[in-house]
Amino acid sequence: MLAALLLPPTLGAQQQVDQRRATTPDVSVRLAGQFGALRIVGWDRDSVALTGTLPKGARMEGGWGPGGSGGEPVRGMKMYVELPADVSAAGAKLELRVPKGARVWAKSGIAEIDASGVTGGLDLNIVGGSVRVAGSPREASIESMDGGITVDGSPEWLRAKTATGDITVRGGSSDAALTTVSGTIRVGDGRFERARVESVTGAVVFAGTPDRGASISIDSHSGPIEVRLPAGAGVELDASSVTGTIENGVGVTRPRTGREGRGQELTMLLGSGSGRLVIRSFKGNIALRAR
Amino acid sequence: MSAHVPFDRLNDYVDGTLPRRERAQVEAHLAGCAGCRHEVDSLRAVLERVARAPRSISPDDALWRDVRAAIDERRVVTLPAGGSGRAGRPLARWSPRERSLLAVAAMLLVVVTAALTTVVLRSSGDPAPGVAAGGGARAAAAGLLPASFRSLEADYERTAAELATALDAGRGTLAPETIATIERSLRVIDDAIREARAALLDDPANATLVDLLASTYEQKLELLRRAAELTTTTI
Repeated sequence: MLAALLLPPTLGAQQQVDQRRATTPDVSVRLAGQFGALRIVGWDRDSVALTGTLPKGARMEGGWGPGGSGGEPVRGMKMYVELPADVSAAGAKLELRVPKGARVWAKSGIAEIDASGVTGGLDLNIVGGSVRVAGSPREASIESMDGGITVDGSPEWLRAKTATGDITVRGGSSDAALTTVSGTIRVGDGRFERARVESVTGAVVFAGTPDRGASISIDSHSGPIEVRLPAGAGVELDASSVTGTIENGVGVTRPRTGREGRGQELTMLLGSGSGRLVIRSFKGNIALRAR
Repeated sequence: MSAHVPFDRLNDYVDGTLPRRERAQVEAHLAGCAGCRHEVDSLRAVLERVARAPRSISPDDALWRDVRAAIDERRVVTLPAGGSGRAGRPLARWSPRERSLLAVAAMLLVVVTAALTTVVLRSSGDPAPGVAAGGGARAAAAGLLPASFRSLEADYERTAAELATALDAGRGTLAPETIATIERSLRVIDDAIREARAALLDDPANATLVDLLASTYEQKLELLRRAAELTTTTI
């Protein structure tokens, strides 16, 4: 049953949080508010444990969702952390252990969120700080304004968006969209089926491996784009920079001069050509390299 | 009795973000399930308590996931029913959250329209009436974007204005450094739009420019949407 949570008496300048419940394996967990650090861990138990410390005067609202009566596992948790106006969120540090298949939704202002071992879903949203996801959740949606996003793993469905924060993905995805205004996007080795990578001024380094029949697009207004393709990549490649240059380090085809005598364009077939890779830039330079 | 309503759906029901049909399904279940009715009452009580708390952070709700998915998938989602008595109200009398939802609804329309328009524009070339693609004609075309892009651009700008209004309404809930980050990023995007737009004026049939400009406009809407979302509170 949902209820306001009563935190234990103050211990010094902090309060301890220790909430535990038996849950369904796919429990839905929502945690929002002013916390400075959140560690999310997917574990092999059908239970949720929320532990940590909150500054003196903090309140935690919310509670546990349907279920829970007569030993029935609960299906949801919804918590909201509220701090006194003059207290920094940095002192609010929480650890959330959830069943691996849980769906976790967390949102804060400036926070460090570290998630690992969750195979269900992650929806993480911060303004500043950083988000790091390790593992391969089925779905991961991560948004930040100026905080960095790092994914070490291969979420099946991945959305990562920042304004100024960097995005780093070390792994692949069957459906990925990575978007930034001025941060740098780095994609390491990993297989991609569908991917859309977009920046306005941020640099893009894409070293993913296009799957058979892949559809990958990389757009930037002015950020330099570097694509490192593996040997044997099978894609039809279409690159164009309206005013920038194209360096082709993966084939013998030479870029041609673009429309109106400026910029460069390049179309070529690599390997089986079963996939499609489209790279577009307004004035950033494009470099294609073998890896 | 049928299985209980999932927790997420009960949340969305209480938040008022369920599409009308799903809402009716939930209500039908609630009519015969005291347990779920009790959970709904509890959820409402929590929301009331949260509503009384200071809104210094901005939790998300399932609606935005649908919105994001719709943007990503270029599909239309059903937004929450507006409810009776809202249609005739001036925008200024809508709550910030209502304005955000309205703006997001408009944004969805633009994004879906934009995708279609861009496809049509790219496939047709669509120079402005009376303007042929070519050197001499280009000068004559100065100040004229392709007709369908002008329409698309008007939609983008209208939606951006709606989202900016929603953002302004909740600006006081954001930290100064957050506002600075948002404004700095908007300036970067606007500079890029100006540059690409000028180039498109000079070369109206350039499909790459159309795609890049549309993509940059979408980035602007997306940033405004996220910024406006930061000013709303729903858990």
